[in-house]
Amino acid sequence: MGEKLLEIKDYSVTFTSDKVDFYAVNHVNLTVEKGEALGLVGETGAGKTTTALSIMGLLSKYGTKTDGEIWFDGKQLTGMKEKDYRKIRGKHISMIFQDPMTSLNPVFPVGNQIADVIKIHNPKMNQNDVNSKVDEIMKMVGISAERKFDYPHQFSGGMKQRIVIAIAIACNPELLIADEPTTALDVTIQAQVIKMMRQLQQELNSSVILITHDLGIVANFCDKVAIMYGGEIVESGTLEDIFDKSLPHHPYTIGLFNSLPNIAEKTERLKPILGLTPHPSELPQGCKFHPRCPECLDKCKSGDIPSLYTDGTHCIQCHLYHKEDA
Amino acid sequence: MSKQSDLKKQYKKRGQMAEAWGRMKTQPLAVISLVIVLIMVFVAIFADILVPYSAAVTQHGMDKLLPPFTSGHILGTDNFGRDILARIIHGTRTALEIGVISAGASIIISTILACLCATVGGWLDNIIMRVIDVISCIPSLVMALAICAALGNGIPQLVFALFFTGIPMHTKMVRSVALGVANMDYVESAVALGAKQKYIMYKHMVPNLASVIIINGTAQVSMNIMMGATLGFVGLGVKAPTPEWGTMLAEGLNYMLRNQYMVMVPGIVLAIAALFINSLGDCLRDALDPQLKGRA
Amino acid sequence: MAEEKLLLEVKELKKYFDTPRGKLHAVDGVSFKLNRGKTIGVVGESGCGKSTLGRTILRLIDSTEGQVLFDGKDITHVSGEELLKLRSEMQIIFQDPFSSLDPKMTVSQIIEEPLKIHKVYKDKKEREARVVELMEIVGLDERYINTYPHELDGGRRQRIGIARSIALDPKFIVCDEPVSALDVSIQAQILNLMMDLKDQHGYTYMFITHDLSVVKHISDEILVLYLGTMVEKTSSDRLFKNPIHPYTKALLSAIPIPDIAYKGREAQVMKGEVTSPIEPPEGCRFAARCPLATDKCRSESPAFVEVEEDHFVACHYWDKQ
Repeated sequence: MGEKLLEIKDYSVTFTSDKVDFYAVNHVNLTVEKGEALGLVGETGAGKTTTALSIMGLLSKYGTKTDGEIWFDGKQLTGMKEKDYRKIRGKHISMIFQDPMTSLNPVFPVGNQIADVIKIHNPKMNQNDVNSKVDEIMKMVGISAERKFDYPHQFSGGMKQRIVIAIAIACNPELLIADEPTTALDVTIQAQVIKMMRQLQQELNSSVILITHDLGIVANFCDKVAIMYGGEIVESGTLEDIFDKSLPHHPYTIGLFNSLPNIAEKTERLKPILGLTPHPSELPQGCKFHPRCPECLDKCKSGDIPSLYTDGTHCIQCHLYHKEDA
Repeated sequence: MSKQSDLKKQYKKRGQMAEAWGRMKTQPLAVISLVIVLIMVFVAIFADILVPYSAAVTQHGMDKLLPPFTSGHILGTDNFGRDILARIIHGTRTALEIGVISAGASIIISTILACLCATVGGWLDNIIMRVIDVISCIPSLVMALAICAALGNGIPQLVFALFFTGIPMHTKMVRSVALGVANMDYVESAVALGAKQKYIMYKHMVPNLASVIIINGTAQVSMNIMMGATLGFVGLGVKAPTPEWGTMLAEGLNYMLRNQYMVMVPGIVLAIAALFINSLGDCLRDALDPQLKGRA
Repeated sequence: MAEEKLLLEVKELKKYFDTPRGKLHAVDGVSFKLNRGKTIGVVGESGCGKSTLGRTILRLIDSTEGQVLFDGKDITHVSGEELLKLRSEMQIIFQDPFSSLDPKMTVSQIIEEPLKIHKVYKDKKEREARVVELMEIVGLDERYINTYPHELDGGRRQRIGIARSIALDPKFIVCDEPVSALDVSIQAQILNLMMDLKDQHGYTYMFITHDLSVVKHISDEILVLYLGTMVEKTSSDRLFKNPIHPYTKALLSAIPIPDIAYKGREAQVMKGEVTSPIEPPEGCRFAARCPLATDKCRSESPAFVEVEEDHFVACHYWDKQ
């Protein structure tokens, strides 16, 4: 612990389409240390996936403007040549997408698809070594190696997602980005996949960025949490910082928790956040959350983004917690 | 009561057509295509006023095979001394008549067949599709040739041949989209609300099939104009003195070395017609789709 | 008295689909009763037949066997005028707020569709007034009356769907995962709306979902399905306090709880894969994944027995746990 693997510094992404600007990601600062699992939480349009694609260098070049820096393992990723980036993708950073059904190629056996990744990054490895590596990886994700000759449609949804994960970890990446890896799966299958991912993470000692809207999964899986709203990280900290109800929180975080029906105790009525998530093309002035905020102050409505309130590892981007600073 | 009506008026949007036009006029290609197609339609409707029919057909002159811009013939004359411009103008009428009527008829029949396939399904779908499969085994040009040969020359016969050969492809295309629409939740919702088959077809299927109908329909118009010209070129379809682009091309071929304009003019007109009717179809589809609003 | 309260009774309902590999048992012998103004939650994983069950009850799909009694009348085979009347009394809210609204219709056209089909108002103005009223009920601003659904977000679209479903003031509404496609904060808004509607208009819901925390929040009673068969049925509180069937237990333990007090809680991870619902063998459908399964489970289907008051379980070993 303690060694920085990924560092995002004041990073922004703006898409332009039809002369309309979409502020997808705004001044994000984020660090992931080695062996750490970070949960990136937010709703549709919060900029989670854009952040992930930026780290992978997979954003479309056209109509996209980025600002800020992304550093990975001492190398700057922003502005890196495509040729160099390709050596990092899949080998050092890999990504799991939401839908296992469309992430696999239906016309090749799954074993070949795993082997492909290994061969791309280890062109000199001989076929026998590749094969044994494939067997080993399939065993790691809990699928017997005999099934490597089967095609994706012969697997169930949960099994397919395991194979997608197998492809992602084939080269022991230092950083794994999982974009809603279990949203398309049933609860019991989700539990299996999450458990497996946790074991793998410990075995390989890799870092994980888990993108999700499900605070339950975050509580189960992550060490650190960052909550995104309107392209900004509004609150971040360790798992305890975020989930401890006695600590101060961003009003959006509080609203998120209140929106969830509680399993443990019967609540008569949910307390949802009023209003709607703003579209990235029409973000409000000042604090992005102020139109929906129950504790909105005058100074929230305009001016700059509120500065951070920090308490150790815990950061909140909100005016509420600043002690009378003009 | 009146308050509510006011509300509705207050948020009243422009009509569908006005919206569509609003979207269309921002695209130069759409406007150009529309203008060219409108000119064609105008020419077709007022052909008799622009040039008397006799000039195009019977008025044989002494000035044969004149190049353009000589003795009052803007586009020159053909081997009989007839004014080429006059024949092109009346040919436009023939072409549009053939293209629009045949394509319109086949798209209507195909849409009905496709909707039946998608909503009723089962055995009916099977029968219709198998028959269509059998028909589409024969290349459409060969079939059109065969029908024209069997029925004899004349515009009605040609229209029927083109109408019939257009059905299989349309039915297949519209059906594939209709199947998707029939599986949408809003169709199921209409069933759950007690809507009848006919209502669903009118209110949900057809509007959502509009884009595929328009784009296929216009493609078919231009294709049928081409096919009509092809048949005319080989001497089938339209009877000899009737001005028709394909026949004009065929005649011109014999005199290509003496007056190349007899081939070039109908050829270019044919190409322009086919191109812009097609592109108008594309633009119309984009303009009529409210979902594409605000998108490029 | 009790009879009067009863709105819906489902008896041994079965729906089999023909597939090239044999009969797919989508719904296999489901029975339950539902009183007026109550909500039954139907829970299960994908492919357990919960959507098919809802649609079979609504007569959107014809059942293979069994009976549905609605308001004391057998509706399994009604047709024509009677079916039309039935349609106005039972409605459905769909999961996907994008495919459930016709993209070529404006909001007002969508909401007035049921009113037009059933010719409720002769006067156009009255109908418009009702549309505006419905929009107000579901919390949709009047200025959206002439917008197209794609111009609105998921939450508002789902409100349109709800307005359409309640336009004829039905007695019974099947809600097929109405909030699963929505963001968390919007989900809570829609759940609140649905509960308010129930309180104000006395609707009876059948709430189909895979999300146990949502179903607990909204239902009075919960029915757990596994591959078309009933596994457990009891009141919502009791199911969470005292689940008996091993499947229900596994399902409950798998819910991720947003509270670090539960961190490290081991979900009861089930081994094995789901049995195919096509021509399933005799015996408990869950046997292949069940930690307690014996030969008896694999050969003999368990009966759905009442193990305590109003608590039904289909397991041979319910008392041995």
